[in-house]
Amino acid sequence: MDNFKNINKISSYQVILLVIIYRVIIAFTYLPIMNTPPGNQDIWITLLLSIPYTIILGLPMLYLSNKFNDLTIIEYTEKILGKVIGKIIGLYYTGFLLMFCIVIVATLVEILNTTMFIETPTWATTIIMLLTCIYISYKGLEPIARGAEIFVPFILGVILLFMVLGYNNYDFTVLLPVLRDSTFKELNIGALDRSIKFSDIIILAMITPNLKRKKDLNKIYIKSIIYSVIIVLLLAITTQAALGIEYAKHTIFPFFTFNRLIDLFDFIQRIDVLSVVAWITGNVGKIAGYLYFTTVAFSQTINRQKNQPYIIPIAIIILIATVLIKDRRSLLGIGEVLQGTILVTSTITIFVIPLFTLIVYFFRRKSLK
Amino acid sequence: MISKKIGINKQEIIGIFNNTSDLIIYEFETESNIRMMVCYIEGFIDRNLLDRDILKPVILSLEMPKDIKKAIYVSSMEEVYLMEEVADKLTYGSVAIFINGINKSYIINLNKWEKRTIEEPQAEAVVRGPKEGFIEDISTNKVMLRRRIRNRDLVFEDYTIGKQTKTKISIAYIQGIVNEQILKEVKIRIRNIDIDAILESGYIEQLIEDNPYSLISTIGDTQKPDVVAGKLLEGRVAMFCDGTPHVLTMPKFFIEDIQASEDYYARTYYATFLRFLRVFSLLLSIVLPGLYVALQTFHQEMIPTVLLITMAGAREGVPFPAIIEAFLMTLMLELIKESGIRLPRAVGSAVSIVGALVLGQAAVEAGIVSAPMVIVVAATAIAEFAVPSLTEGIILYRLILILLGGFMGLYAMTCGLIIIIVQIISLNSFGIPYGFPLAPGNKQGLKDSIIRFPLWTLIFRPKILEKKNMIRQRNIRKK
Amino acid sequence: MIKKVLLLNIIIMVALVLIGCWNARELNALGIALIMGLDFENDKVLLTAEVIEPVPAREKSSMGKGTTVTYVQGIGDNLFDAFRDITLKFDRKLYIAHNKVIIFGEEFAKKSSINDIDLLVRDHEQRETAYLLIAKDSKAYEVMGIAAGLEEIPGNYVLELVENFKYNPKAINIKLAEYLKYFYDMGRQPVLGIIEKKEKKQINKIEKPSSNKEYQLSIVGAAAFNKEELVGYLNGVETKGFNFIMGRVKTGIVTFPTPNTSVDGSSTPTPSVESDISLKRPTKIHMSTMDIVKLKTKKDVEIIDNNIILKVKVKLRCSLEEVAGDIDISKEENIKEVEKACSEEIKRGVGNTLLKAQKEFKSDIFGFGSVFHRKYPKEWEKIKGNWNDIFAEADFQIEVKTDVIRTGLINTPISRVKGK
Repeated sequence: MDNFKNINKISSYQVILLVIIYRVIIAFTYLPIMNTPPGNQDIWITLLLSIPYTIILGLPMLYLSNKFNDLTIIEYTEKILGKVIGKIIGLYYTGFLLMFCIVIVATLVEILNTTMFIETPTWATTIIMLLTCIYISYKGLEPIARGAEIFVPFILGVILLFMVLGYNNYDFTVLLPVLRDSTFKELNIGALDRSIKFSDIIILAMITPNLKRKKDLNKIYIKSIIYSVIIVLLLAITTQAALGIEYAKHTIFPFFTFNRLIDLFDFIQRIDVLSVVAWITGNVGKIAGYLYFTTVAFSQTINRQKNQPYIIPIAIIILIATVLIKDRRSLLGIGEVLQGTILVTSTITIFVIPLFTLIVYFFRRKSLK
Repeated sequence: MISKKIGINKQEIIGIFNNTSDLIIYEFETESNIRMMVCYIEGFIDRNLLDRDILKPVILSLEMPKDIKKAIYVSSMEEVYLMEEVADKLTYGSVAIFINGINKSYIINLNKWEKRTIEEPQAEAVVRGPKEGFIEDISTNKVMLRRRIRNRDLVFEDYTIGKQTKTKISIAYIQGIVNEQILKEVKIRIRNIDIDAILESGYIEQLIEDNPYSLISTIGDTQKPDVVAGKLLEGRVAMFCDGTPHVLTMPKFFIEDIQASEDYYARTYYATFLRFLRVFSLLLSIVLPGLYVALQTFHQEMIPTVLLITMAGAREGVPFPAIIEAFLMTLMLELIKESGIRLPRAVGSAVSIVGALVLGQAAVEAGIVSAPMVIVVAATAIAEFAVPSLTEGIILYRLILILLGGFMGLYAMTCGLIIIIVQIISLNSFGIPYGFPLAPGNKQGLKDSIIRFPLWTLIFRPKILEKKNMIRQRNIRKK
Repeated sequence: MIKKVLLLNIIIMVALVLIGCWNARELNALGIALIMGLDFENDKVLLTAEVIEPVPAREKSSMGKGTTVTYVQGIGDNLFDAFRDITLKFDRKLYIAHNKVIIFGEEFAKKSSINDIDLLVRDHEQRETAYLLIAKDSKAYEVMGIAAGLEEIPGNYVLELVENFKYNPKAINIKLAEYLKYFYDMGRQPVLGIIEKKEKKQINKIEKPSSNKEYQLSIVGAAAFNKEELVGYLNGVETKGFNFIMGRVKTGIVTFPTPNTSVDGSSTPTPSVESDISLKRPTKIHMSTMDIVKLKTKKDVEIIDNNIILKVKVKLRCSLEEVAGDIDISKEENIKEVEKACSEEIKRGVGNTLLKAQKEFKSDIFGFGSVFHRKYPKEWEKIKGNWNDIFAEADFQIEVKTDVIRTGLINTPISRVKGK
């Protein structure tokens, strides 16, 4: 049924939603911006500053994706750099995505086990999550994208609802004075830090071949960055206004803590059920997506068409890694190692490798055609 | 092959029908001494017509065997040369006439049998709108549809399926509106059916649907001609099956379970309100018992304090854990429902009284189940009836969610719910995404989804169903 | 396909059975705490909690039995130790997610309480919306268990008291989250509500032959901190002043001496027949009352010649509720006098509170530091270390503007004859 193929491709709206939720869910979980420099009332400026940085950092990747819009980042890297280097980089990307998977699962499990299931062993919590994600990944990219159309508006709606309901907790004077307590340098370091860790943009490079209208790639790129940063910004501002800057820094899950404060008219209270549901939903979406892209990256690295056979093995790897990590140390409470690792790998992934590939591409342009 | 001699034909036809007792064979001679034989199946034809309009003129005035068409008064007659075919025709209620010396048989369709009268289908009762529903007879059903769409583009195509039952089915569509691709696919799938019996359209549904393992059906099913007409006008294909009032429409979207024919007849605000109500009750009936169990056993902090104190009081002294309680009550509810339907009317009401009294009041007073649980289950049951077409799926989903909620609280429940939703939106119905127009989203489609826009703004048919004849109407209110 | 589906189902089933309700806590295994008291007892933490006794609804209706509570106590080296101590004394697990009020004994508050309540914030069970109160001059457990209101549950009685803050600004309600917010704020010191046990005047003693004295609770006043140190108490009037400065007054009253006006137009004075007698009586100061409809406060800080001046601007809209004394308020100039008198009263109250915080507590409980930070960020960097000292020495200016927007159903006071 050829004429239905077009329907089954991914629309730009769906991609934007996917990128937004992958970004926002981190903020929803632990708002890392609270503790990046300058870490005071000026973080919203940092966030705004990070928009141009992110756009610039991703340019090499975007350029290449536009050039090779029938190939994923794995495939075109291999095409440009040759088989051996291409395979190594492909494996690196697989590893990077896998690492992200593990980090997200570990974070999620940590939060669940601290707030709800204290006596439940790590593996049990992890298995439930992974079973869900395996199922979704098996269904393929289309259900993930279609799911985004249902779940993302729901999650964003819940976030918005809590922002509105929290109105009487806000004290916006904590956001003053603007730009006085932080130096220009701090702001830029923070912004750069944020934009380097915006590694979710890599899924755009993985999704390109499935896009319905490939011309829209640039638009999707810019829109998804701006929208997601703005939502994170709203999250950060409301959380700060409700909790105060210092208390927000103390909490590991600032937005969730803020949600717990809502108490209106004696009956709108304890509605964090919604928040929890939305948060779990977002995490399922993100893990399922990353699991899917990991397997796709892996299967493309070893030149296989189908990614389904690798889903379960990779999920098992994630399970083992999560249990090993989680039963040793708290990831969020002591986050330095984690943040450092993410920073380095993320820089390499979204900037260094694409830039290198781009340079090689310019030299080998003719032979490639 | 049909012989020229009647005697041989008679033997043959008796042989074909295995000497069945309801096959009537009547041999006679006309005034002009032509030997003839009529065959039919008892009770299947209109005897009056046969006697008055066929036998009488034939006996009185037939002179030459070839001139039979001049002698009898019928509007349609076929000439058949094969005995097998004759036998087929007889099973549809035709009369076969054999004339000595002619090696063919004249088939005249005189079928007439007892039918149920047309009445309002109980499962799809409406306040406003036509009350008639389909019956078991396919030709009557086709007429009912034709009366609604008096258009030469309305096409019926007949098929016979079932090696044993030889069931007549018929697909209907509107040429020029239907999506050719879907039509082709439907035809291919129907031709591929190879089964001995079709007793109800549910057989066909299960044989041709895309996702046989899904808990919910991806083919629509209705008993009302106006609903079928509406679906055809959106570009769908309908399938009639002889012997059942249930007509299939395909492809089907998830949103169709939330729409009702009445929505289009009522005012737009009320229709929208009703649709919100249906979505809400759908969610409620799937989630509520599981949520109750999850909140009560895992997330007591998310229950408002006053409610929690009341609930704690109600739980005091109840012997079972909440999950068992919920499971038992839900199963009991299904039991009451099932036995209420199956039992004779008179006993049925007794069952409901016993159910209400014993399971509701007495069980609570004896302290075996808690009162809130009874309320929850009852609310679930009521909510379920607001979306009757999804009942099959809802019950199983609900039980799964109760299990998950009882084992790992909201976390497992959310995961379960996500799996359910992803499963639903990953379905395709004849190549069309089942979740349309919600996921994948479509602006035009959303106008007639959970919110029903005013009728005059629904200018286009659902885009995904057909490409050519998109425009449904001109916006008469636009200046 | 069928095999796969089956396999998946089996895996899920097995997983579910294995997981088997690790954290499931049935409602009838929980002791739901509504109010909690923390004390130091011989350098150990003493935890007292009020737990609800759930009564089945059928018994409640048939026996006319209301909800009752019971008290549990645990003692330990720190708070969590005390919590776990309870498990061996009480048959149900103490569940504090619905705990709405936390009372600190005075000793507990004085001995750097913030260090000892880390658990309440670190653990997810306790909600940050719980109110914090300090039991003035007593132990926390001494003020618990008193239900002098209509609420059957003592915990709810306290909760309702705290929430009645909106009707009378002589008290203060601070939640755990707010307390932490202010505690972390460099330019502001925390303030907490207080709770006191007061003896009730016995009414109708014969009917209720109770051997004990009857008590009721009162939450009038506030406790001021300097970081974690409890430095003193504000009384009711001072708390009102505090609330005026913070702009926290939703509704409330201001009672002030009625101004004496010589301006008297058409109306005749009070019957002069008894003027001799009234002269002999000691002149009583008549008091009038305003009801606050809307209050807005602006805090400001200014540096003039290296002197820091704290400014408070209060703007309020009131309705005149009670007028005693000899004044015709239907006159524009008289109403202005009334407004002025009211403003003066507020100014005095606010000034007293400010002075007390400056001189007695040496603690900026109003958040002038934050205002200063916002206005002079550079200077703030230099002085933020010893802001409290600077605050104690600073001058202040108070401006109050009152608008009477309603005067009730009558114009002149009822003691006056209006005449023609």
